[in-house]
Amino acid sequence: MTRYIIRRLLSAIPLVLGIATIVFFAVNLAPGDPTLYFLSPGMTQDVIEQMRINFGLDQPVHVRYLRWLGAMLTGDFGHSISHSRPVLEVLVDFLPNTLILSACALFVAFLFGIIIGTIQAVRQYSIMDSAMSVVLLFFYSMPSFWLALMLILTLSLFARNVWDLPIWFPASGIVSVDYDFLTFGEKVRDRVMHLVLPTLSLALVLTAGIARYMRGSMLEVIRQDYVRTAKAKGLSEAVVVFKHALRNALIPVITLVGLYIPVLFSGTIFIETIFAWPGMGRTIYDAIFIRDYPLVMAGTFFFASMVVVANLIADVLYAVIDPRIRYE
Amino acid sequence: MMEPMLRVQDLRTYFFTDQGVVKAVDGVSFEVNEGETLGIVGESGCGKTVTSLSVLGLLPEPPAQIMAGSSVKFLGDEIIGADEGRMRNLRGNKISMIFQEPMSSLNPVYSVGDQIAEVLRVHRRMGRKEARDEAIRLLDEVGIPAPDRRVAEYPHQLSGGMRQRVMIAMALSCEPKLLIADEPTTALDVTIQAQILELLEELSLSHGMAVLLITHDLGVVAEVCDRVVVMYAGQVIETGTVNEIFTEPAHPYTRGLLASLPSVTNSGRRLNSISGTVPNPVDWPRGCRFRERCPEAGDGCEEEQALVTLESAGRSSRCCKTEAVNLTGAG
Ligand SMILES: Nc1ncnc2c1ncn2[C@@H]1O[C@H](COP(=O)(O)OP(=O)(O)O)[C@@H](O)[C@H]1O
Ligand code: SF4
Ligand SMILES: [Mg+2]
Repeated sequence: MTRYIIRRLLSAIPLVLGIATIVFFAVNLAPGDPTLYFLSPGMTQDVIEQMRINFGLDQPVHVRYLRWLGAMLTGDFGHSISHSRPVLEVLVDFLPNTLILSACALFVAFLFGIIIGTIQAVRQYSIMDSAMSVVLLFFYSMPSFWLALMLILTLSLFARNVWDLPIWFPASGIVSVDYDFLTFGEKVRDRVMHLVLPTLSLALVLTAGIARYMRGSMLEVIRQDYVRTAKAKGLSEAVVVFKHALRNALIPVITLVGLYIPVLFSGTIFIETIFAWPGMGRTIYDAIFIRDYPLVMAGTFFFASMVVVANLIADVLYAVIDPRIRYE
Repeated sequence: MMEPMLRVQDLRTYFFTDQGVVKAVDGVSFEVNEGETLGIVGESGCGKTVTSLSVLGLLPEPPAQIMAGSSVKFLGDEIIGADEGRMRNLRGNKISMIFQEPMSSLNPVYSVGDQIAEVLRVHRRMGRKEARDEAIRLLDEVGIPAPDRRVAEYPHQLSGGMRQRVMIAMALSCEPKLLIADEPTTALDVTIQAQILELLEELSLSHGMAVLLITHDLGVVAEVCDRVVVMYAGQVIETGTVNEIFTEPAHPYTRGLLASLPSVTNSGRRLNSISGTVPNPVDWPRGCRFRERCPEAGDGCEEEQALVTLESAGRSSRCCKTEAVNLTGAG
């Protein structure tokens, strides 16, 4: 098991280096450069040229690449042009918010997707199965930014102002304005409440996909001989389904962990903007327009690395669930 | 006479499918007595597996449905239509079952020890440690070498024969009164087949356990069974002791099965197998269901055939020519 993990880790190293390379060239070969941000009317060509030299943009692209890569390997991600401080500081400020949001969305999506898909499979062709399929198809077809707006409208705005519900969810930011004056318990509650709507907006689409996949996988598994064996042992339906069938049905579903992380990260760009969530998705989006190369490159590199990490986690999960892989 | 342990009466199990109603089991009756080994034989597709799964209530409903009028009594109690709680208490506890495919009958993600221990924990309320020790003892009993190491292994680490032994250990764990073995050796090599049959015979003796052995192979029946039920097209077509079935088969179908058996006298020659195939269970032929394939078909065969008791209670045949055949045999 440990050897399996080490092997997977080692094989990820060239992948990460490859990602760094692609990110660098994709950003640097795109039209425009950071000087655009500082342009003002009446600026002479000399000044612009001097600025390019200051940024190191006068160097040939391969030299810039090697210098960037070398610096990055020592943990130096450069200086953000638009934030006027080290890229690393910007990352430390914004990346955790995105990771928390993504992790919550992923957890919620898998939890509900797995439960719903399993129930659908076990009660195939029932009214519940069909009803869930329709609802899931709806969420699956709707763009997440539209879902986000609808959630704000219903669970935030209407819940508070129209329906007078005792509970409603804040629609912007990660904490309330009076956060600093709250007790510890209230602070936790405040953060959780702020997480609900952006998490749901991101998770619903994924839930639908996971449930669909889970249903298919579960239907396949409950026809297997070993499920019949489990019944023949006198186990209750709950044990047969949730112990014997579920673990086998999860094996193909794990692949989705790796597949859905990129979907999730691109989703955060819209969702963070809509919910004024101070995360990395929004920050990179802004940085791209300002041609803040160091920040764009570092942020993209981190997102891409996260995808590699997610696939690593999926590989480890495979081994945890399936002894046939563990003993390979 | 003593009440039989298991009495199946007029069992009808139909599948309601898009292609029509599959009358897989269509009025089957038989009994299994305390401690005996009863064989059910018949070609593939004649309803043996569906019969055995019906007894334990293991068929998915829908599409399966056990029709009204069917009865399965275990130790005098009706178990068709019994609630799930009662059925669970029977399964794996009073009545155990092993299946044809040892490769797919064990759960690939749990160790064999866990899978055996699970039965002990559910039915005998054993603790974790106790169940594991008992699992090791059971593995030893079914002839698995180094059981204390094997207990932690996973199904994919064992051969087919070993997996079937694990299935047997699991089935045996709660000292059931009845073991239903559905083609337990069909998927195995010939040498392993013999070992597994021997093991089953040994265990049924030492545990005083009745066995319902389902097979398509009369050779297997000859080796281990006391009595035989021959099935064809969802019905019982002949019953008798092993001796009776082998020396004086009453039904033309049974004779056909016997003729296709390799033996000392016809080894090397091309085996006589019954021509044609089992008819479509959605639409069984009218009259005798074996008629299209029967070399002795003639007058009276277009009538529906009843299972007629012959010289003793346990001896019966579903063929209008039976008595005539017996008379010529005797004369
Ligand atoms: N789930 C099912 N749906 C429809 N038909 C079935 C199903 N299971 C079994 N059958 C049909 O029932 C008949 C008897 O099958 P089976 O009992 O497995 O035969 P055997 O075990 O004697 O080879 C076959 O014709 C088979 O096609
Ligand atoms: S009833 Fe007729 S067709 Fe049927 S088995 Fe007997 S002889 Fe053959
Ligand atoms: Mg069968």
